Amino acid sequence: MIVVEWYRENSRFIKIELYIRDCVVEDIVFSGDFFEEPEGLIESIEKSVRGLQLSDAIKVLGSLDVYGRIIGVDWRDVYEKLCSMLREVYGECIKE
Amino acid sequence: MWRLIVDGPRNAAWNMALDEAILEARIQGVVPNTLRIYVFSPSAVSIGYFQKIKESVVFKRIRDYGYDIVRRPTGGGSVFHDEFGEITYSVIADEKTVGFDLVESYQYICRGLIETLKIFGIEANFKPINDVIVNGRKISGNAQLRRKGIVLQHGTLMYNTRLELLRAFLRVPKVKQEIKSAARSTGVTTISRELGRVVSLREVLNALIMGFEKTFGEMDGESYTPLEIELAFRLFRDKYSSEKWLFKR
Repeated sequence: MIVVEWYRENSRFIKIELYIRDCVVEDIVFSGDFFEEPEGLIESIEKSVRGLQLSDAIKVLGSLDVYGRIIGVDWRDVYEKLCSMLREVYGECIKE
Repeated sequence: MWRLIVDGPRNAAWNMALDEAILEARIQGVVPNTLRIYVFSPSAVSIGYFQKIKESVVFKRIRDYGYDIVRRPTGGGSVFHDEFGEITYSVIADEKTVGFDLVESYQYICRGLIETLKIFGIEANFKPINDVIVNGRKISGNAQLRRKGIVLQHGTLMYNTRLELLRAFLRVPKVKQEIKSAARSTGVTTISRELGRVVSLREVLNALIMGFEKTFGEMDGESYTPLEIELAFRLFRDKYSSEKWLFKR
């Protein structure tokens, strides 16, 4: 399991918990005091990622801002932080 | 013309259910744009849609006081709704009226709060994304949800909130605490604190109606439609009073 927390001054807090087993994402939970647009964006991303190979999950998460936005959060910055942690801990699961 | 509903005190689950019921009725086009003003009784803490309950509030302490805890349909952070010092409003309106752009729409609706505070002689400013501040301190937090072209925005106005309870009930993530304290963030305030006298609910209610009328124009005082009551009852029973909803994250 890895946990990424992100917060900047005058922004919103976001936390992402990823539960990984045998290079497969068993669960992912976003939490925090951010807003989403459109309604349902986060839940559909969580649903799409569950059960995916980690490499594929990373691709889906990377496209989050194509479908909408997390308001109050710099998603590109959060995503970079998440990818860097995943590479460090689960590098063997990630096909570049 | 806008509809104005000044509601009696209700518990947290009912208040959330009514806001969402009006949203659904507005989507169906059977009610006009609406401003609803209400109070939580008993006092309550509401948490944002994406917040984890154990990380955002001191659950047992709130329950020990006999207060409610409810998850909102909107994002944002946790809020203490003090029965004796906080008034809540909700605006349910089409995007065309309040603005398609998120920040602009927050700013437009928050103008009603800024006008309200002006009536008390308090100069307030909008702080993007969603706060109203006085002398650098937050006096109102606001949260928005958009569904099928209709905006639901609800927000608080602290007039005499017991700030010691607010601090005792709400948790702030460590990473946020550290950055806020390094930035010397100055916290929250109330109308009473700014004026140096205790203001009453009646005074704030009257000013709030006048403040929003300056922004939205004249409003028609009305009540709920039977459809809204029916929808609210269902939402109250199946969603906002259920543990499943409260603990969903």
